[in-house]
Amino acid sequence: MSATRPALAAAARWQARRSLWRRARRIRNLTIGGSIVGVLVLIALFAPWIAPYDPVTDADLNNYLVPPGGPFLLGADTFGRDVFSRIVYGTRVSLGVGIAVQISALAVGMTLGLLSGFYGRWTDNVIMRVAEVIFAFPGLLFAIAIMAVIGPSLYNVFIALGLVSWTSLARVVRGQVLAIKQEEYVEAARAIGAGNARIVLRHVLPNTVAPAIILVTLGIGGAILAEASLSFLGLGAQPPTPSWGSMLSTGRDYLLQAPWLSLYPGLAIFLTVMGFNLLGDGLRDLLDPRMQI
Amino acid sequence: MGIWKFIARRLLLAVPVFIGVTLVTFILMQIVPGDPVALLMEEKAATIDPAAARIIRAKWGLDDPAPVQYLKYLRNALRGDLGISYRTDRDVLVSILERVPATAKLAGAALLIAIVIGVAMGVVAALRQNSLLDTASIMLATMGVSIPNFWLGLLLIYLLAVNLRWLPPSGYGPAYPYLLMPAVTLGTGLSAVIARLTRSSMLEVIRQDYVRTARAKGLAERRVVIRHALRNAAIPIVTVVGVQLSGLLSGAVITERVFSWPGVGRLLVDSIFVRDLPMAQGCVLFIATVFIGLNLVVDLSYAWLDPRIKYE
Repeated sequence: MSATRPALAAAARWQARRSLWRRARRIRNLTIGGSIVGVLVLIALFAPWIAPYDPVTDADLNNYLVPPGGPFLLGADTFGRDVFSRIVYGTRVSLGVGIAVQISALAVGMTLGLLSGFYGRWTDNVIMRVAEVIFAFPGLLFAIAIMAVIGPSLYNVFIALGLVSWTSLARVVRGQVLAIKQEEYVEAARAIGAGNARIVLRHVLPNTVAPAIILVTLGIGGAILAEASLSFLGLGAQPPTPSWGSMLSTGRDYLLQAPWLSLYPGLAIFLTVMGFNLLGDGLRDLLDPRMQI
Repeated sequence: MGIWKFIARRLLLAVPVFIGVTLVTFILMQIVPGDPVALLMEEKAATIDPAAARIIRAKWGLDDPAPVQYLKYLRNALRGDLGISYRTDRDVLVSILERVPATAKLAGAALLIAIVIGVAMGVVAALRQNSLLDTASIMLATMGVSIPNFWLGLLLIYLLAVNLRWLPPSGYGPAYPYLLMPAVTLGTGLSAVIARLTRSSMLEVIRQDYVRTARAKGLAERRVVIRHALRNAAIPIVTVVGVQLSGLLSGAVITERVFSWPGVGRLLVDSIFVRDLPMAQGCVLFIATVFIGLNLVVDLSYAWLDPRIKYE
C-alpha cells in the first residue's frame, strides 16, 4: 500500500496539470497572447540572425530615407539605417526593460506586501502610506519627475519605472495575506508550532502566486508602454539606442516625407503591448477568474 | 454616518497624501545633481560671482537645514507660491494657470468622447451578447487598450491632416477642428476600458429581477436599458473612470507633445529639457494636486449614483 501512495499522488498531479493545460488551450486570449509573446521572445533572442543589418553601425547617408521595399524591407531612417533591423533589436530593449522592471517590482512589491499584510500595525501603515503617495501621482508623471532629476537614459528608465511599479503588487499581495491569515490552516500551522517564516513561505506565499503572475504579465505590457512613452518624450533611451519610442519620436518630425519611420515602430509597440495584455487577461481567466483588475 | 461627515473625513484623508506629494517633489529637487544657484547663474551670466551666489543662497534660504527648507516650501506651496522660473523669471503658478484652460479643454473633450463611445459600445455589445457586433466591439476594445496614444496620434495626423487634409495637423486654435484629433487620441484608451467594463457590468445587471420587473410592467425597452439597467451598471464604471483619470492626465502630457498643444503637460516636458527646475517641480505638484482633487470628486459622486452606500 505504502509504495503506491506516492505513485497515486504523482498521477493525480499529472491529471491536474493535464486538465489545466486542456483548459488553457480553450482560452483564446491566452493562446493568441501567448503566441505573440512567444514570437517576440524568439525575435529578441535571435535578433542578430534575423536582422539583416546592424541597428547602429550600419549607417550610410547615401541611404537617407530610402522608402520601404528595395534593399530595406521597412525603409531606412535619417542616418540611412535599416528600420527593420532597428525594430528587431528594439525588441530586446522593450522586453528587457519590461521584464527587468517587473522583476524588481515583483521582488519589492511581494516583500513589502507580505510584510505589510503579515505584521500589520505600523509596518503596514508606513508601507501603505508610501504606496498611497506614489499612487497619488498620475501614472507616468512620477516617472517623468524622476527622469527630470536623474537625467534621461535607458538605465534610469528602469530605475524610475521600478520605483513606481511595485505599488499595485504590494497592495494585492497584502490583501491576499490579510485574507489567508484568517484561514484555519494557518491557525493550525501556528498551533503545531510553525514560526513566522515557515508560515509565510509554506502557507501564505504560494497563495499569492496566481495574482502575482497575472499582475506581472499585465505589468510588463504597461512597463513597455511606459518606456516607449518616456523615450518618445525624449526622456528615455537616447540615440543611437534602437528603442521603439525614440524611433517614433524621430518619425514625428518626418511624418510627411517618411511615414514608415512612425508606422512600423508604433505597430511593434502596439502588437507587443497587446500580446502581454491578452496573455495577462488569459492567465486571469485560467488561474483566478474572480480577480477584478 | 452622514454625507457631510463622509466628505469631511475624505477631505482629511487627502491631507497626508498631499503632504506626501509635496515631500516627494521636494526630495526629488534635493537630489538634483549640482548647485541650483550655479545652475541659475550659468543661465544668466558667463561666470559665477561667489559674492552674488552667497546673496542668492541667503535670499532663497538654501543654507537652511533641509527640514526647514521643506517647511518653508510647504508653507509657500499652500499660499500658492511655487517659486520663480529660472528661464522666464515669471511666477511659476501664474505660468501654469495660463496653460490650464488648454489642458482642461483637451482632457474634458477626451473624457466626454471616452464615456459616450465607451458606454454606447458596451451597452450595445451587452444587449447583443455573442453577436458579430459583440465580438467586434470586444476586439476593438482590446486593441484600444493596447494602442500607444502617441502612435494613434501620428496615424491620425498622417491620415486626416497630411493625406486627406480634413483637419489641421497640430497646434491650438479657437475652433473645434484643432481639438478633435488630440481629444480622440487621448480618449481612445479610456473609451476601450469603459466599453469592456460597461459590457460586463450590463451583462450582470440585465439578468436582475428589477430589470425583468421593469420589462414586465411594460416599460419601453429604451427606458428599461437607460433608467433601470445602465444606472445600476454605472457604479463600477464611475470607479474605473476615477482610477483611469490618472492615465488620462499622464496621457495628456504625451498627447500635448504629439499635437504641440500648449497645456500644462507640454510646459512640464519643455521645462525639463531646459532644466527649469522650479517650473518642472511646480507642474508635477500641480498635476498631482489636481489628481487628488479629482479622485475626491469621484468618491463623492458615488453618493449620487448609489444611495445605499453608507459612507464608512
